[in-house]
Amino acid sequence: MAIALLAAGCATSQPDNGNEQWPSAEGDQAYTAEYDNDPLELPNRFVFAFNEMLDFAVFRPLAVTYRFLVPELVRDSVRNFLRNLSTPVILANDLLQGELGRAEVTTTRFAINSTAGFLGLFDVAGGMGYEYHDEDFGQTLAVHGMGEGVYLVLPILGPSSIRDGLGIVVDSYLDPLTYVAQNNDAEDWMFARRAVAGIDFRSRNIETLDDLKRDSIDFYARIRSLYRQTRANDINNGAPGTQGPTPGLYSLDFDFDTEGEQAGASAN
Amino acid sequence: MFAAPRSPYRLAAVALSLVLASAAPQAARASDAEQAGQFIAHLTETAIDGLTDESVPTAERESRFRQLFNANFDVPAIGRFVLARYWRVASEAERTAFLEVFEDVMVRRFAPQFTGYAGTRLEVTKVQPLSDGKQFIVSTRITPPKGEAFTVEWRVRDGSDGFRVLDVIGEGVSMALTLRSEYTSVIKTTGSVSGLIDELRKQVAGGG
Repeated sequence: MAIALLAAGCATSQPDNGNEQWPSAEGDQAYTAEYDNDPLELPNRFVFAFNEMLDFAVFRPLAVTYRFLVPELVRDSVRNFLRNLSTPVILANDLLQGELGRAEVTTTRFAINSTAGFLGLFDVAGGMGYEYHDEDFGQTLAVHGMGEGVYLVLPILGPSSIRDGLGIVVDSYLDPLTYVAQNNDAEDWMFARRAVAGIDFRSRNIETLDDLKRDSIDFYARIRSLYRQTRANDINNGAPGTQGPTPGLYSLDFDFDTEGEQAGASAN
Repeated sequence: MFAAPRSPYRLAAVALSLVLASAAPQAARASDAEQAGQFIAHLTETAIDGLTDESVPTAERESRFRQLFNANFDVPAIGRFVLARYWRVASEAERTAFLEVFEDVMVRRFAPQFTGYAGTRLEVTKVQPLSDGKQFIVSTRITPPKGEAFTVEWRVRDGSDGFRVLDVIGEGVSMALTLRSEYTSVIKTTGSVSGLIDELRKQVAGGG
């Protein structure tokens, strides 16, 4: 199954890293199914509905309870601790992307927060200008030119893609803690860590997701678009329109109908 | 390849004309860019002044927002962009109906968002002209009285009747592109532009 998905992903992946999401100057053919890059929409919608049900029954209530019971300072420390634990994976991906400056920030953060920050419970480094950033192998693959394959909704984990799903697997192999856990029969801890990270994330997005859902008329399509745009932004490290792999947003074409009768009305 | 070393003067002339050609529009654009930045600064200032006061009745704030939205956003262009290729197949009546309900959706969605933003500060950090010379990306840093500052980029176009906003990009997410993705998906599901219009009307009626 996974192999088949991978094969499908390679067959449709574009060298220009998801540019096909953005209509180019020939805006007319502007919008066909390919721009959503979602040939697996039917199974994806099924998994999405399953995830939503789980979220409604389990994750959202857990997140609400967690936020209600645990003081903010403690929740922040939980997040700081988890972030500090993921340093090796972030550092590896910084380096694999050739981002030496960011690698240095990651290393400095780890040195400061593991010591002055009491084993990572406090983000002392952030206050000194060494801001946290995330990296993962999905982004590394994108930086090196791999397209996203196709959009994919993973059970429990949510929106992803062939490339990003592959990234999750590789990241777990890049993480020294995976091996530490294996050698000590402590794989449950790895699971617990993921679960806590998930609840932490969910608890920080309760209102945002409620809002997004309330005023959407196709929640699935909205989340798909948000995920893909956010990933493109992450891959470019927040610099859209630069010479990165995704020129994207700035080249959207708002003029594709200028030959139509509306031409005089708004096209300069 | 061979010509280059034999004609250094021509090369110099080409280089010079390139410099001049790129410098001239640059100078012209600088002031346009400044104006684009001022347009956004003024727009957000007006919005924060007029829409954050919760003692003003909701209906009044909604009508203020509607007026600001229509005067400063290129609603027809956004509507066309959002419907993408379905704009072409839509009938004139559908286009009008869509733009009408689209405006209502925007008002319902964004008018209430301003409460809690009284005293928000906005700083234009960069204005970048796009290749057509008519459009600009205005980057702003928005600092609410509570919570963290965030970055919003405004895509504006200098048209015959002044500047108009085409898109709002928050932390790398484009509003126009997100709506396009969602709306075209609904058209596909319901089978027609009328289907989308019905869904949007239901949303507006439901109080969104």
